[in-house]
Formats: sequence, structure tokens, C-alpha cells
Amino acid sequence: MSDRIESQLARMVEVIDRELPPITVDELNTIQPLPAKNRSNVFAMVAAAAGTLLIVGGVAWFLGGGAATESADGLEVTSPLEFPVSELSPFHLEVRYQLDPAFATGPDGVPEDLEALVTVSYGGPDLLRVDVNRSVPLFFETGPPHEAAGSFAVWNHDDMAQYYPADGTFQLHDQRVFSKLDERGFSNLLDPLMWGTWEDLCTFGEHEFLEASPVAGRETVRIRCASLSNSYELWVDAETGLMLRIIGQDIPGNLPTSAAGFTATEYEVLSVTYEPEFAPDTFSLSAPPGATVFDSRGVDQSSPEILPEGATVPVLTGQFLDGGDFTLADLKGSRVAVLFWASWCDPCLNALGELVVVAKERPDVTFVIVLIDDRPGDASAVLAERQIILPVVIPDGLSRNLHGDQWGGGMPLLVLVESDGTVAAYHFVGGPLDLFQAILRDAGW
Amino acid sequence: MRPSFAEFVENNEHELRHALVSHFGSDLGRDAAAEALLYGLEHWERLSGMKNPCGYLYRVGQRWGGRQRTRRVRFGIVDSTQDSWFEPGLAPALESLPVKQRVAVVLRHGSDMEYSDIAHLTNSKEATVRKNVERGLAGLRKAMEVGE
Repeated sequence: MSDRIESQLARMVEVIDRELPPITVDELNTIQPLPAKNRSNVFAMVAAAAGTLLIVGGVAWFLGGGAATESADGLEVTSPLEFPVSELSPFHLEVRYQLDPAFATGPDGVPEDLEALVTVSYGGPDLLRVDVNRSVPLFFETGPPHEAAGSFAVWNHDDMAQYYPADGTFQLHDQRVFSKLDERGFSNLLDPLMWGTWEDLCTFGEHEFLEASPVAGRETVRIRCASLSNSYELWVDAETGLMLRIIGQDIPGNLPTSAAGFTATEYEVLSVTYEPEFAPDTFSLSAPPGATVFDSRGVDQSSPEILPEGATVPVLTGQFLDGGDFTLADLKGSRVAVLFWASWCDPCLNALGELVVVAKERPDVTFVIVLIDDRPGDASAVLAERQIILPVVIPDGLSRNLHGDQWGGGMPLLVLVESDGTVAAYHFVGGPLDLFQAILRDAGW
Repeated sequence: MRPSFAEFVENNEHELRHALVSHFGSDLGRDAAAEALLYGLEHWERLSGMKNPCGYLYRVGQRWGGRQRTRRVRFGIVDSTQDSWFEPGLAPALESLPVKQRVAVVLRHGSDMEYSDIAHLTNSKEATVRKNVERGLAGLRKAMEVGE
């Protein structure tokens, strides 16, 4: 090669600048939003796992509306616009999810392998509550436990809370807990941004408009988005833009587990009420009677200040579950992925399965599970049931939820430790497999 | 005194666009920058009081781009005239880098930004940026099979 990569990078950016001209204020001014009353919005709610299985962690806001023209089929085509949450009217939904584990291209972050009924209450800016009314595994009875009926999550301005009836815990967080997920392509629940047109609802592949029929008593616009391997149909409230139904289809043979193909109504609104009357405590962050409260508000759980990249990891010692002393420092020279985990922590159970898959893919990385305030017997039982063969450590002196410790707060927590003993990545996990894979990839591992 | 939005664009559009283009590739990246700036235009009163509006808008662009189902990063550059020739393998090598390394190495050596400015824009530590630049260069050399 005749010259240095640094010089070539500079020339490549010159070419990019030439081909992609600067964005000017004049250009931005050519895209003007319509007044709010003319806007229609699409609320595409997808359940995501932000430390929970079924609690809504992802809400994608789409906007139709704008400088309307007529497409060939007579449907409105629009210009990109921004839709602020502050202009969205309150609503109440009953939603049914049904998701096949093989359908990997469903809405981002949707928990797989379950059928669930949830209610969604949106009370205005930053006020949202999701209640799980029913949740059953679809295919694998021994698979990851799903969010039990009775669990709920409430977002109330700067804070949010999750209640898990399985262990009676009520966990209060500030919203930063979820920011890491958002960085990886998850929709942030309270992010007011989404841009789009009707066509832009298809964010990959081709789109076509199909004949629609009412859903939950509402007139709809039906859009099919398709690529070579999969497709999905979106049924959108024609008046308000609320997402009312998502049908996903996987082409036969596309995935090993879907040789026969798969079609499912992944998301369907059973009833919708606009401008509903909410009970006074709907968006309250108060714990149910008898719940054990864990309040992590004020702990900057997503801040790199807890354990920023490049920081030397704190001392971590303990005993292996199957005997012998453990010292993290002894692993210097190897890349180590440490998962802080507990059998009593529902999101942790979900995360564990994904970690094992990644661990199999990455034999060059040493994976260690560190139990937090867990009974060895409980942990052993869960791990044995799932045939987990990763090293498990009972640490010295780490408290429940890690609060007040040098490692920071919250679980499940994944810390990637570089071979020189510094932090390569620090993330709260519990989402789908590709989140784990992305964390390792983004750390350059 | 708070800058006007026009002044902000004048001073920051370049690095914001380069950051998002290096993050998402040339096509999606410019769109992400445009969407971020449009958000900035509409919310300038609030953003102009922030310590780091450009970093905020970088996040806005990241979010927008991250929601697009096209995850593939592409530098679809065809222009390679004599004055601006670069190795054809550079674009695919960049596409194969982890995103933080790609952004860091492009901003440092492509856009000639200081380490401290990159750290400010990406809300990370300067040492982290330096590490990512080093690793990014090493990754490019490996992918392009060249030495130091």
C-alpha cells in the first residue's frame, strides 16, 4: 500500500463531503411540520426487555401527516415530521401479544415464545403504565420464565417502577436505567422522537398498501413491508395513527426453527379508548401491600462514572460454587465477561440464557457468573435445570442489587473486563440475544 | 449569549454529520444528521441552553438511525478521482469495525478532530477515544492487510 491509512481516511472523508453536501438551515427549513391538529401519529408499542420480560421498554413513535400528496393508490403520502409526545392524547389499550421464538425479525426487543395480554395506559407526557394480565409460554414449558400475571411497570416523569409478583419485589429506578438499551437500537419509552411517513413505517424492504378492515372498531390503514426473508403487516388507526395490529411472517426455511414458515399476529389491540378516565393512582409509584421495595433512584446506574471504560475494575474475590477460591485479578491476561446475577431476579433469568448462547459462541472470552445475595441452593437448582456450565462465584461482600458497592447498582449487570484489568464495557442487560452480541462487538471483542 | 441555530449549524454541522456518517455509513448517516438537526431547529430554545447541544443531537441522530431496520453500515462511495484516491478496501474495512472504533478513527483521522472534541461530542473520556482510535487503526490495518 502506497500510503498510510490515516491519509486515506482523510481523502475518503473529502469524498464523502463532496458526495454528501453539508446540511444547511435552508434545507432544514424546507421540511416544515403541519400544525398539531393536522397530525396523525402512529404509536407502535412493542414490548421490550429493559430488565423485565414483558414490561414495555420500547415504544416507537411514528408520525404520519405533513405535506400530503396522493400516492398511486390514493393513500396519503407524507413528508417526514417530528411528533412530540406532549401532543399525544391519553389512551388506554388492551393488547394481545403472541410471539414465536423463531420469528427473529419481529418488533425490536419483543420477548419471544409467549402469549400475553397486557393493558397499556398512557396518561400524557411521561405517564405510562403497563399491566400484565396474562402471560403463558407458547412452546417451551421449561423455557425462560415469563412475566407473571399481576406484574406491572409505571413510568412517572423522571422515575419508573417495576413490580414482580414472583418474588414480591417492587423496584424503583430513575429512567437512566434504560438508556443503554436505547443506544442499541431499542426505542426509548419516553423519547419524543420518531420520524416517518406511512411508507417509512416499512423500515426495511419494500412496502405496499393493502385493503384494510377495522381493528378494535377503528378504521385502519394496512401496510405490508417485505424483504426476501420476512415481512410484516402494520394495521394503523387511520385517524389517530395508533398501531393496532402487527402480523409477522417468516418465509419458510429462513430460520432453522421455522422450516415450515411462520405467520402470527404478534401484536393486536383488542380494545382502545381515547381520552379515558384513569383511576387516581394509575400512575402512582407506590408499592403494592407487602412488597419488598428496592429504591435505586439517585444511583446513576447508566452513567459511565460508575465504572467508565478504561477504569481499573474493583477487587472481586469469592468462592466458586463448586469449590475453590476466586480472584478476578488472577484472570488478568484474559478477557473476562462478568455477569452479576441472582436466581431471585426475574430479568436475570432471562439474561442467563442469552449469556450462555454468547459464551458458546465466544470461547476466547472467560464468562463468570457472580451471585448477588443468592442462596447457593437456589442458584444451583436454576443453573442445573438449565444445564449452565459456566463458572459461578459467590462473592465476598457484595450486597443485594450491588447498591453502594464499587460495582454500581442494578442487575443483571454485565461488565466486560479487558485483559489488562480495565473495564471494556458496562451494561445492564436482560434483553434479547443480539443485545449481548452487540455489547461484545461494540467493545471490540 | 446563546448562539443562534444558524451559528450552531455553521460551527457544528460538519462534525455532527461526520460522526453520524461514520456511525451509520454514508447514506443513513447523512439522513440521521439531517433528522437530528431538524430536531435541533424545532427545539433550539431548549437545546441552546445545554452544555453540549451537539452531543445531544448526536444522540438524537443515533436514536433515529438505530430505529431503522437497516442495520448494515455502508459507505457507498463511488467517487475515487486521482486527487482523492483511497484504497478500495478501506470502506469495507471501516464497515467491519465496531461502531465506537469506527466513529473515533474517522473523526480523528478523517475529519481531523482533536481527541478532546471527539470525547465531548460522543460523551466519552478522552482516554477511551484514544483507545478506540488505536484499536480502529489496528483493525483497519488488519482488515486491509497492511503493516504499521
